[in-house]
Amino acid sequence: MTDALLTIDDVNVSFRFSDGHYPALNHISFSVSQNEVVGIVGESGCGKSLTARTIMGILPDNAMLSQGSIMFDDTDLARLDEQEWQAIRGRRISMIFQEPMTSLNPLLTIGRQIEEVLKKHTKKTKRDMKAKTISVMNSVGLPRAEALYKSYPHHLSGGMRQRVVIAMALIGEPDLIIADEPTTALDVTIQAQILDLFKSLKATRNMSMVFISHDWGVIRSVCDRVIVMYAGRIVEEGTVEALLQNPQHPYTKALIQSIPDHTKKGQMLYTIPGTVPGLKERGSGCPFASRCQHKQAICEQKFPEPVRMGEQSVACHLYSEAGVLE
Amino acid sequence: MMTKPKSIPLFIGISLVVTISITMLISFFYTPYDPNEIHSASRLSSPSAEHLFGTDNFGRDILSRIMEGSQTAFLTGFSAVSIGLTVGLVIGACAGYFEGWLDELLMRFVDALLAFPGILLAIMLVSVFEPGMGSTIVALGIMSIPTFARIIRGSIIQYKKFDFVQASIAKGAGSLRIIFRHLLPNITSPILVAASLSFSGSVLAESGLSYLGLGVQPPDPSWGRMLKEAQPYITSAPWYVITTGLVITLMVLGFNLLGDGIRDSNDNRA
Repeated sequence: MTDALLTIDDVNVSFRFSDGHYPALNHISFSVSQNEVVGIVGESGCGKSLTARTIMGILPDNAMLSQGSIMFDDTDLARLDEQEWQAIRGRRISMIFQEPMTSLNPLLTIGRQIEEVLKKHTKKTKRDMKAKTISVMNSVGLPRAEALYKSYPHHLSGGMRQRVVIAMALIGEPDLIIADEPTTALDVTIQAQILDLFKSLKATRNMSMVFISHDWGVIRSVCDRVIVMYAGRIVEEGTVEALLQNPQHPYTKALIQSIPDHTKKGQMLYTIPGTVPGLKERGSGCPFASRCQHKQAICEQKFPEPVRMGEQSVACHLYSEAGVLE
Repeated sequence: MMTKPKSIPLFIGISLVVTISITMLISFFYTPYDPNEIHSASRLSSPSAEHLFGTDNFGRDILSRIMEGSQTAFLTGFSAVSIGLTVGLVIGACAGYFEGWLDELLMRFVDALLAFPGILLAIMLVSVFEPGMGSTIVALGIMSIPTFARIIRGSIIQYKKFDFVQASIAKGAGSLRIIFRHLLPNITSPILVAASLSFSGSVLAESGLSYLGLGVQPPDPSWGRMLKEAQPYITSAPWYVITTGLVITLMVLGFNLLGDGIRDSNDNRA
């Protein structure tokens, strides 16, 4: 991929606890091209948000990037100091947070909070900033932008707040937007509106995005490519269509099988037995082995190398040379 | 913020603080008598229409002296809180925001300050320097640093985890901007409560120090020293001790109730 905007190569992130270091992201590699929306799916605790925070350079205090590079254009984000980061955040890469109720400061007006990005990164006059803010507010579908500019977050509904959060991410006209479950906290009708907004933004602004979700419906409607994560590893990657129609990894299959839809009416919905292993319970083998129906001896010992299969790549011993194809 | 006090303690607190503040302000322009005017003819006269709170052993009007003394009380309280708040803010904000080794270092320093009983620390400081208004204020200011530092650190750590702070980092904001723009405005109410309690604590400590003769020195009037002067006449002229003591009590009570009231009204809101 020559026009990759973001290339993450072999990134490891681990958490430091009193009794040692525990890896939370293992050998994460993927790239995002210009104008491409890449989805990341997986259950809770699989490292989706941590991946987002790693790209954004806002890891929790006890987490650290121990290996790998994050090439963004020609800069390695993994090696930036705080000053250099501040020039990139908001201006080149921005982030949309999950919880619209808590991601706005209750004591600042909406306008002020959206403008903060411009204040930091441009030398516009007050009037220009306001005009720009209002136009961005209009473009994310906020009604009566003039009046809202002076309102406080508690005046707004959840859906409107999420539009404000999206406006905050857009106003700096960043090259890359990272959306961490931007629709999860919203109710279904609002969710549909916000998804429509994303779709129209994608069409009009040629955005590159990393879109995190655990909802395949959401992923299908906005993403071009999708990455399936499990317990800190990428287990499968490919175009959305390929993965939905022809999932290879047992985990992807199980995830897709457990999507509720109208054809399954009246039947028991499939659920994956067990839970994601905790940080301290992960060995060197495939983390999904304990929940996998196709487990082989080798699964417990070694994590498989990803294998390229047409439109997708899979990391599973079922498809590797060492494993046995059933 | 508090147009309608909802609780009775808060109402009493505000009333006391406002009354005493107004009295203090009036004392700049008017006191019934010159507070330092000596009338040997009317020594230790009991409260009357002429001298509402009576007179002291030099025949000076006690009410006038209390009014004059309120200036000292407010000045020491206000200055001590300002010093404590400023230093405590810097320490607490740095410790809470950056955490890690800086937090350890700063908070151990604060713990060391806290390890001294407050009044003892003040006595030590006052005896190292010269007793007087200035060193009393500095001593009381230092005494109140730990309270502010701890409260501000705790609140900052609590608010730092909020998404809007993370969102602001993601917008490219620097540490100073986040601390002053996003964190401090959100923690004004615990700071206000601490300031109010620390104010009454400082007034009380100033009275204590002055009572021991280590605080404010003559000719600056001070409630604590008035108590000391009143002590020998506790049986012959009890009004001297009672009025002075009562005023100190009401002042401290007023600010304590105010602080508690602010805290309660915020708890209810949340």
